[in-house]
Amino acid sequence: MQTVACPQCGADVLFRSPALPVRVCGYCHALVVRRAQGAQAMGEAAVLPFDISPIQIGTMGHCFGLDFEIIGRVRWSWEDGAWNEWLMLMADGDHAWLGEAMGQFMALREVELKNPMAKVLRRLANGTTVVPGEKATISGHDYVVTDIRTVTCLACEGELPFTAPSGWEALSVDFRNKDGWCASFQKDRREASLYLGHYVTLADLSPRNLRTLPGWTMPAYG
Amino acid sequence: MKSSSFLYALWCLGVIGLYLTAASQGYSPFADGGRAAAVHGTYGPTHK
Amino acid sequence: MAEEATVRTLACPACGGTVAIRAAGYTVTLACEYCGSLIDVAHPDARLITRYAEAQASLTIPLGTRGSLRGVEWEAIGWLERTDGWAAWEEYLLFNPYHGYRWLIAQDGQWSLGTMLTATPRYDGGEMIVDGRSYSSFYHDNRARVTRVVGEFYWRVKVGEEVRSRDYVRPGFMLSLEEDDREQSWTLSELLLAHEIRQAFDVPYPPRWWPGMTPLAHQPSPYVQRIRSWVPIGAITIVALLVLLTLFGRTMQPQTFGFPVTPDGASVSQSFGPITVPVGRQAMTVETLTSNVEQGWVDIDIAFVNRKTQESYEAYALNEHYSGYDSDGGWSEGSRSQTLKVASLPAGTYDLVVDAQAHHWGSSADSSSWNPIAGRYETVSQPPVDVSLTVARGARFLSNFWLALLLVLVPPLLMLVLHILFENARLAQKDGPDPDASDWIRGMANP
Repeated sequence: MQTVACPQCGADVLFRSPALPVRVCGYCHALVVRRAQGAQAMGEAAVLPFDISPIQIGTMGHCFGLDFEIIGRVRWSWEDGAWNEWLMLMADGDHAWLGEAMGQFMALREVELKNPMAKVLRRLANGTTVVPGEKATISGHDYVVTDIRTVTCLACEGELPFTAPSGWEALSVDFRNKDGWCASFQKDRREASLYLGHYVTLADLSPRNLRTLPGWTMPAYG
Repeated sequence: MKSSSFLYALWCLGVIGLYLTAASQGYSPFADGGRAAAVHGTYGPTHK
Repeated sequence: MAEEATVRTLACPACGGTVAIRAAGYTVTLACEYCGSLIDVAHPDARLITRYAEAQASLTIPLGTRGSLRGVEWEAIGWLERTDGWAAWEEYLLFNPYHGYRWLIAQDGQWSLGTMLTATPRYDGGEMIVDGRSYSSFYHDNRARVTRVVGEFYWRVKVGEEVRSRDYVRPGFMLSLEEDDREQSWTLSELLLAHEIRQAFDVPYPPRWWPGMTPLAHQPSPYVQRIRSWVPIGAITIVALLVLLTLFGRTMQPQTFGFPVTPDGASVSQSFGPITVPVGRQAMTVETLTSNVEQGWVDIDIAFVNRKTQESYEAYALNEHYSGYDSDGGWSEGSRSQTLKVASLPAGTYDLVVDAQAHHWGSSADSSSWNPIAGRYETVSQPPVDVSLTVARGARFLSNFWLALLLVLVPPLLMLVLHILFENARLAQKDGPDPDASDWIRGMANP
């Protein structure tokens, strides 16, 4: 949701959804019109959600058998959408990532991308494309390609183990398997990296210090 | 679902009731004779 | 983040006064509250507002509506309409920031709740397995294209967007695969019961199925449960009827009468009695026996006549027997005994009046012989036929039992016919090989 100042009287006007073009100001009853960039396409194309997530920097929880705290975030966007990657500082000092897209969470840890490599990964590392549905065996487990996108880094915040270059672009490929495990391959101009992990639900993380979102009841976790 | 089973059970009870009524009155719509079945069958030989 | 947006107020261009949105059915107008003039619909802000409001007005669930499904509050944030070239359906995107997204799929007035899977289904023997339940192929080589879209989605859905899709079903559930060049996703949808969806969102009642309608691929037959729960009721009833059949219908106090009748002679009328019906109403079983009828028949008319009221209860029996030889050897036809069951005689004392007439088959020449004394052919009398009647109180009407059995079976058979019509219509939409026995068996599984 986005709160804007009424251009007429300055009072707070809340836009619950980015698709909503107009709200009536509670104080002066003026019609407050919010025109998004894609407003002309209304009816022809959807509008992307506001950047709100239940996770925030400082959220704590339990993952990979260890307690963690969220200390940073990278927001990636592709042509028609965006998602977050939250950096988890694990209790043993290591880092892990919590990818959040479409309301689904992938808990991932970086693994060394070395030989022997799955054929699919080798092709990706060499710059050849793959298609969704292709099979890959990574670290002894069978996966299937589910997502291939070229992404741009939109924003960074908090503590990150790297400095994000401006205009940072990468190829991101997601894998998943029948047991709920997942993998993510990322290749930018400099290097390629591989992350392995599994899907989790918010409840699985036993989270504390989630972001309170006005108008929504936070479930009791932890 | 449940109400349809109840209705069918009522139907079956009704059939049993009808059957009992007929039996207690010695009645059958297929009886050969009696007040209700007063129509005679064919007279005469029925074989060649 | 959502796109950069500009925010400004819309004031009346004529007098600068406050503008209000007025909605009348599907039409939306913007009017100034002070001078009453309507804002020109070509004004870009006005067009934006009216288009959104009109799109909203046509939706069954207006965007922004919240509803509680399965203990979680969801907000409908986006709506789209898709078609695969055969049918069209609508999808609402439901959102809860702590629970993610769900899909509410509306087709033919039926609602399904869809969840995107994070684990890929397993393939086993022609079926897809998710969480231990198997789904059989229903649609394949399908393409779904977006025709309309309103509101907010986690990806920028565009009209004309197309995906390749495949659907697998089990009663009440559909497992869908959608893919394009960039991604592949599996969604599991569950058909919602009318009360569940209506409790969550105020939608019209899903229509009941009637023969002639086409059910959805994953719609469970409403008749399976019914037949299953009716079978024990019907079985108990049939057993009860069998018990009653053996209990009632005993014949009692048989009395036998007999007299001879000459074939081709006059009709003989005899009266026997008294025959008592002590109480209520009773049926009578009369067995007519003509043990020596040969090459002829006997018409036997019986009547129970009430001594007091003279009311008569009648029946007729035909006893006959024929025999002979032909190229196949010997043959015989006819029945020398008949059982008559007379229904419902009221209490009282009766006489059994019997009219019997015997006939010989063939011309009188067969039974003529030369009488030398008279000097001509004379008909010779046939030997007399003995007519014997056994009258007993009570009768076992097996026909009543069969009639009752038929009545008991009619409702479940009707349900079976409807189930067959339902499944035929449903399976007719299936892609691939023609539906076989396994499709029918799967259709009978519990949702």
